[in-house]
Amino acid sequence: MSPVEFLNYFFLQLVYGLSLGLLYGLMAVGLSLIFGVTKMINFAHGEIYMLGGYTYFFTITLVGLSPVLAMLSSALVGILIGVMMERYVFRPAYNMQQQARDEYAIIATFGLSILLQNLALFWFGTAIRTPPPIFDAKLTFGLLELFGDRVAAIVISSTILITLYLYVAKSWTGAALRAVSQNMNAASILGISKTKMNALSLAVGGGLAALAGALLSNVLLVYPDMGVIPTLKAFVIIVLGGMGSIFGSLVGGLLLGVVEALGSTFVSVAYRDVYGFIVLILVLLLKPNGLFGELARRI
Amino acid sequence: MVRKTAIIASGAAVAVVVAVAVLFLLQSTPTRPAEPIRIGLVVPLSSPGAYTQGEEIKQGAEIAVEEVNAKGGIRGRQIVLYVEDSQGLPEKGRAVVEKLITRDSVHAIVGEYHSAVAMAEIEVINRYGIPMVLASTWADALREKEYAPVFNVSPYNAGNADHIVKFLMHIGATTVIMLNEDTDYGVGLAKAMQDAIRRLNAPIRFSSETVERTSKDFTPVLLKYKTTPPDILVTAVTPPGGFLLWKQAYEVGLAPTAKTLLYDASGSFQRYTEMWPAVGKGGQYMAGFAPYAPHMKLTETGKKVVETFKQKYGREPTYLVMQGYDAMKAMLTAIQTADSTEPGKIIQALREISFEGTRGTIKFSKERGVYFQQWKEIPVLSLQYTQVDQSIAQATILFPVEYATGRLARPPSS
Repeated sequence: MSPVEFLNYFFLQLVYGLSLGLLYGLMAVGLSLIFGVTKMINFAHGEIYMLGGYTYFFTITLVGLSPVLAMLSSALVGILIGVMMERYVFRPAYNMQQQARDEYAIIATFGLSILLQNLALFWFGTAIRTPPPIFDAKLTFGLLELFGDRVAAIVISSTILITLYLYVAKSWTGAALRAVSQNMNAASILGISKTKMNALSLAVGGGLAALAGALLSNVLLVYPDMGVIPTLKAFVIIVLGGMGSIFGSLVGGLLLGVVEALGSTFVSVAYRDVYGFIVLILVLLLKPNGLFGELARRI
Repeated sequence: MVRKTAIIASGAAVAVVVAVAVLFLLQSTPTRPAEPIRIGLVVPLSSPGAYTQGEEIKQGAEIAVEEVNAKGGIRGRQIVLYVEDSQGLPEKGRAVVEKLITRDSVHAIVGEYHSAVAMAEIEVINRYGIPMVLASTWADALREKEYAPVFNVSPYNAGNADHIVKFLMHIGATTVIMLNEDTDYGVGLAKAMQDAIRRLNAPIRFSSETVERTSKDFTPVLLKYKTTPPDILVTAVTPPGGFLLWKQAYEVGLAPTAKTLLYDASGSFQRYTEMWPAVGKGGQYMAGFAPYAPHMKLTETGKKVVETFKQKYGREPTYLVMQGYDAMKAMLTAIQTADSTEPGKIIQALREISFEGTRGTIKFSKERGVYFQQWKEIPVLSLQYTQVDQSIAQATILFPVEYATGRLARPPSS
């Protein structure tokens, strides 16, 4: 391979890695937001993503909605699930104060994940489903060829991630979310309702997961356990980027996507997951709180 | 004299009373129903297992059971199925097989789709000596263990690799890249392909790479081959990974193209109702390996199974339905032949039986190694979709030549 060919090839891999990383980031950002505010891990996040995919598929194929309305329906379903989870799973755990709260959250959300997967299997069957394409065209940029659905997923994901970042960084509600994330008791003293912020984080996180499911349903298909692997990747990303950091999730997602792409190409595809974990271990050795995580202490 | 007469008379009276009592008892005791024959069916029915495939095997096996029960069972004994979900996990498979044998006291076991899970299950089977017919487990390592109670009606890697290599020679392919999943089946098929190329002295440059079955994005590995595309890209990855791989191979412009043919070695491309929405235009000109096609030569039994399945589920069966049916029918035929539910007698009968399956006469090979207790002559085909949204019945049969319905088509050069 000539140096020019090699550079072209490297560039191709980089672009595909970044595009995949962006999609990973979209999945991880909701999970990170929920953890940042509630300090509890939601193992059922992947199943909200899955239900978002199914909602998108059925609202298009059965109800006949346009892709935009179908995506909004998916987001709405995700928000509703998030709110219900806050009310019936997270709030009881929160009221337990320090007494085995984390263990409760892990067991409850893990159980919910298995329940939702099996309900999906029961309701929707075992078939792998694919909604009609959002944008049925092939775009060519020199050597780079991208299909419409992937381009749509990249553009919409970027827009959502930037909007969310600005919302959390600039708005009053975003400041309240960050305040609860940094110090819940101090935030309460200042009049911020932790219950409302918890509900908001679950609603936004759930909405984002479902939207990701809808957006990626054409690219990565819809089936009952479609959320398992993305959730695992999302956990790697939020630890990599710093737990609770939205910007960290985005950077972590991009980093994971690129590392996986380049590692698979230049070393071996058989160890694809290993590359992400090697980077994770290295980052944790050098920065134990992740790339953009902050030192925190629970009071 | 009087005393003797009295003794005889009282003896006769007692005999009459006993006879009447026995007759009364015989008449009043209800006839006990014959004990049912208990058969365990182990398939993946939930994640992370390939639950779609597991469900199809189950549907085929159920047709075989319903058929026998509708005729009054085997010697008046109805067949009762004990279905267990192996979840695609070796430890779970091992546990459910143990449960079927020790708690449900099944007489025999049928099923399985994942080779890795079957590897764990046959250890338990061999320990208890309970007969098992594997439905669709392709790894040769399963047969190389030469466990006496284990029989296989499934396509098998050594036989499949032979077929694929002969097909590659037939179309004149000389450079072949294979992407295989990281399972006993996938890694085993890659090795079997290398062995077959050597054995058949095929003029083929072959290389393989192992990819994760659960992966979502295969673009990095596909792009690697875009600069020097092979004559054919062979994939051995089961869905959903397989569907994603084909879709992405098309999207990056690697295959199918005028230069590079795309070939599925997992048998999944015949699941066209799911494949076309997932893969779209990427499926046009795609070829693949199939142990069954509706327009292949079927036996009378096969035709009946197809009809029953269509009536019951309103669609064409896949090869896994056939595999499920054949595996169960093998077991039921052996039980009938043995006229017993004793494991040893069933195993002996399985070694000897020869019966009409869905696609030919099934009998188990007595050769050793990869052919051990395998339905060696299972027919396999190479087919090709030439138009988007074709059904498997419309696909062209390319190989073997005696089954061929057309010739290989290639996409026009861009």
